[in-house]
Amino acid sequence: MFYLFRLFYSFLPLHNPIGFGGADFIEIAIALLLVAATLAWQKWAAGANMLASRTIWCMLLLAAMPVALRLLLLRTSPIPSALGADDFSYLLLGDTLAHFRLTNPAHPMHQFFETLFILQEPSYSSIYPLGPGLALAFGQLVFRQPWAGIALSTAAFTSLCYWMLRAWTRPGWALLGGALAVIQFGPLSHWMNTYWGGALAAAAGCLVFGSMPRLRDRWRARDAVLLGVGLAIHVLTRPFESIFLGISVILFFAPAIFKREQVRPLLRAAAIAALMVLPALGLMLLHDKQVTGSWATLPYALCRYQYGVPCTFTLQSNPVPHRPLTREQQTSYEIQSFVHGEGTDTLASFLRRLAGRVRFYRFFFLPPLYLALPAFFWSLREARFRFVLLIVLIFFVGTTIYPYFYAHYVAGATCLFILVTVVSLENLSRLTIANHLVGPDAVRVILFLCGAHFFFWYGVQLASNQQFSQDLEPYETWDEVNHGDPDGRIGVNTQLAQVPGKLLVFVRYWPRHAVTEWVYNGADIDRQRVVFARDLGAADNEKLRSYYPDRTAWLLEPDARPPKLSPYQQIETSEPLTIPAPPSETKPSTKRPTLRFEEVK
Amino acid sequence: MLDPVKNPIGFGASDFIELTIAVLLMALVLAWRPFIEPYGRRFSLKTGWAMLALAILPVALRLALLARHPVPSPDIYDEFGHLFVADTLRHFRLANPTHALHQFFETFFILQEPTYSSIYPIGQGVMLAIGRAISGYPWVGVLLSTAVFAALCYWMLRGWTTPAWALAGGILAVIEFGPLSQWMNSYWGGSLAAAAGCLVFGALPRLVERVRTIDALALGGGLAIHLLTRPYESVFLLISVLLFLILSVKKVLRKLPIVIFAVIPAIGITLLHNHSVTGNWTTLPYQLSQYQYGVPAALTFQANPVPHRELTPQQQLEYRAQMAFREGDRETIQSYLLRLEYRVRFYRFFFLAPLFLAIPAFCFAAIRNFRYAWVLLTLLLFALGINFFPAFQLHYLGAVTSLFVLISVAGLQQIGSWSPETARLILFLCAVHFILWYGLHLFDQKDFALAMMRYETWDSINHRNPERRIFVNQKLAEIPGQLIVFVRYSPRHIFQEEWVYNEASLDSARIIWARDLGPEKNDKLRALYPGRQVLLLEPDARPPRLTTVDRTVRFDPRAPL
Repeated sequence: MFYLFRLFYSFLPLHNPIGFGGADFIEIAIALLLVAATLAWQKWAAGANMLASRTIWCMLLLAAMPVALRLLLLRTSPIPSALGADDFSYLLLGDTLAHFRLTNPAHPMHQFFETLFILQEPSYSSIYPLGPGLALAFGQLVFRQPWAGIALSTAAFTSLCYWMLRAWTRPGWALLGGALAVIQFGPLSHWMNTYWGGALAAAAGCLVFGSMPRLRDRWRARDAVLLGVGLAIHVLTRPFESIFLGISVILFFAPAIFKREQVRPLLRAAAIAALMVLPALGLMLLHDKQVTGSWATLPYALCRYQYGVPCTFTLQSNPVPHRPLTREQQTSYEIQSFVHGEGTDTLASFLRRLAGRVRFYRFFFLPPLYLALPAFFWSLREARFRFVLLIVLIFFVGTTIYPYFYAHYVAGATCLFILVTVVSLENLSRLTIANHLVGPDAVRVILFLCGAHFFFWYGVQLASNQQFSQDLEPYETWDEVNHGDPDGRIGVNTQLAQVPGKLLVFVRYWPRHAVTEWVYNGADIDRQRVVFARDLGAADNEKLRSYYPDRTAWLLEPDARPPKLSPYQQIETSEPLTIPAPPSETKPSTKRPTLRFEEVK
Repeated sequence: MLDPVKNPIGFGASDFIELTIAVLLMALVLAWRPFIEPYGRRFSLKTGWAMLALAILPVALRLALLARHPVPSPDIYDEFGHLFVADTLRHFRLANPTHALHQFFETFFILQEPTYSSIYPIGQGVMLAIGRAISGYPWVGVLLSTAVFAALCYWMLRGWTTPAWALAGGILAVIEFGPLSQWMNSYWGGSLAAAAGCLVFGALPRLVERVRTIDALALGGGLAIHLLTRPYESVFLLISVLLFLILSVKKVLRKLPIVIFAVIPAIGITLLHNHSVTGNWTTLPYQLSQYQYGVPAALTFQANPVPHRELTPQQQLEYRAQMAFREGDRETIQSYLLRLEYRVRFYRFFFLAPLFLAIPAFCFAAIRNFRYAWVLLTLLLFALGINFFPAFQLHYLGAVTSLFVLISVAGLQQIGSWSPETARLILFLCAVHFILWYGLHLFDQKDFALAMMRYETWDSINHRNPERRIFVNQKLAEIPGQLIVFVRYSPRHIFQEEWVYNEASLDSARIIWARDLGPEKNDKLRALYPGRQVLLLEPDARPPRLTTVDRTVRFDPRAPL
């Protein structure tokens, strides 16, 4: 197939043997995919409907699909490398838990390890809650690869999404929703290709929103357990947004309070669910105590006190750091303070931010699905769908009081977005015009386009070492699959892997260095083969070298292109640093423009 | 705007395209069963109305674009050649007398001696002349040709397939060869030969089935028009007709005189045209141009022509360029096949990308259908035949355009017999393709449209307007009275950008374009036209420079315009 691609490759019509331009190639690819989808639909629609009723098989299939599809991409897009500060902080958390502890002792030379979103005192710890770390630790312990935890979270989410939808709609539509979850949040998704999480909170949301209608219908203990487990996982993953999830649960069951016959089973279910949540709360408190020394202080809150980041809610004033910051930490603090803005929110600024957030919900809906969404309003005659809309609004408005937005903030409600999609499609399928039932055809078109969208971009990713694929990738939006070595970290790690023995790498930033941090270490710094440390000048560096007498010292200059790794020489740092600006003839970055969920002011 | 985090709904460029495709497909799907299919089916049975609608559709759609894409300006010398034919015909003559100072008017593809004439056959010129006579715009003739072609394409397909599929084919013809097509946005022609092809290929099955005089007349009429438009390709058209009729020769024999009767006037006009232009009944103007100027290039099995008159530097370069079309001195089987293979890419013009899926289905259908096999044979014949000419233009295949549409339609029909939804989907995608690009042209001053345009392929709306020509013409229009414009090329002039094109009646033209032959010679021309204001055009300046030439001073242009 790739030979054919090479034969026909050229997006200039007269430069390939069939006279196709770029748009023509895309057009025929879409045509082929749509035709294939049409033919497959005719052949397999009945079979899919039969399969949809087999819960376990569907869940297994939907769990296997994103993992298998992502593994198929490994040749061109290997296991993601951590890139951002959040990635490294989550990985530290995973590593800490993999050492069977909730935090690590402060390092005696911790000033060398100052970095972003990691506490150095009173203990050496990530600032994040435990949930995503548990998934990473599981991956690390079982598969020796933290990313396996991410892949498994995604598998859990996609299968639970189907399970959740089974409680809200018919099996066929539930299976469709599960397939949409695979397409949207599977192998090409930001959630599956970073360490930031998203899928775990989404899976927790599935448990919560899937168990609630079941519980109300049958008041089974099993569903109460699942509700509690969902809430527990979400509390451990996204504590702030758990408030909205809690409100959702309360609102859902509120009508039952007024029905005498339901009060008793409701209280019983609430007790069981609470019993499930309690361990999570206990674990949180223990985590707080271990990391911060206080039962009621979150590591996140302590970081804000010490470093001024992450920024506060817009209802609060900007925090003030309470310890000396490195230049990178200072820059990070200033950026976050700027995004937060001076003072607190006004109604106007809140509404502006609210409107600005709409764009980020594209992450949850492929473009063709926008055509179906208006049909959801037909369902608002039913109380349960009014509830769904209300919860989505609560998450939407609630997360807006934080100055930043990332899709995983509302991950708990992801299955509701899928539910809205599926219900919209179901409503649309009943559309008749002039006594003709046109809805099924319309739904098929939308679904085929979603399928074509996925397979087109998946195919592009599958061939991402091909020139045509690289030409197309800039037009891919909201997907985020890792390619190459955008920061040069993989290159540096490969170089370091070739050096025998234990290493101490001093990281020296150039004056124009951006906020990107390179000093990240595992939970057990002293036992690592490679220790990354800040370059604090010759005199201070000597202290660390004395602390690690058996390690060979290296100097890493990440602002060189490519990043420069050289044996550390003491003389280099005996003078104040006057490193020239990066040379102009540096190779252009091969970094693919990736979509960041940064706040737009 | 196309940056996902900079627009209110988080869409990137590909998202917008995807949503647009989805909207258009949805609209078609929603309208198909209640409206398009039933009404379309009924409408397709009304031949006259369907032809009328298909004739109006491309014209109306193109006229709706006029605000953004005005009447095309000619730019390429073939276009000027056809316009010159039209202008000559408008004066009710087939050639013009040689000008006394014809060396000033030497240009491409226009003979100066023995008569002042275009080298092209008169078919396209007739349509342009009709257009100019009706409206003052030769381009109206192009519009009419397209209208006739689109209507006749449906008529032709009615002879081959069901009315509904014929209507679909007619609409495909509008989409592919209508408002966005090179044929409708230039003066080169294409549609007229295609219309002639429709008459021929539409008449053939009807003639064999019903043996009616009207069908024989249509066949003869088609052949006649094609002969007047593309004489060389008429050879292949005639062979394909003979191949079709060979098995039914007894049945249609009595109608053959009618066919011949219809063709004879065209042959007579061709001979008369030859005689009027070249002085010889059997020498085509085209052949005389090859003899005099060495261009256009000869067929690949012929020896390279040698010019027999003094060439201007630009003509000399053009001669060399045309000789370079042939890669070696001698044609070999290998060079012939390589050229044949290379030309496959040009067939994209006749099939929108989704229609490529219909081609294998048509080939499958041709296994069991003799007539479809004949269609493939005819196309092969044309492909092989025109491959003897070293250059290729899309209108060389004009005659068989309706067969390409037939392939699309019959291929889709075949697919429809396996899976109606699939055939419908491919048709929808073609419609979406057209609506998308047409819509972009309708709003093509917008940033998003401009950003998208570079991905448009094979459409050629006003072939990127010759802005410098338009600029110069606007400047000249502001100057009152009669003018002589001497054209002075810089040493680095791109030879194909010729500016010396004139009307058939030079003396009465408001603007006479002349080559700058140096002060002394130029003065002779000035003396011939004493009442005209003299201007110098330097088209290679950026922007092109127009300067007036002082009447009292010898040819020394300094005064700014």
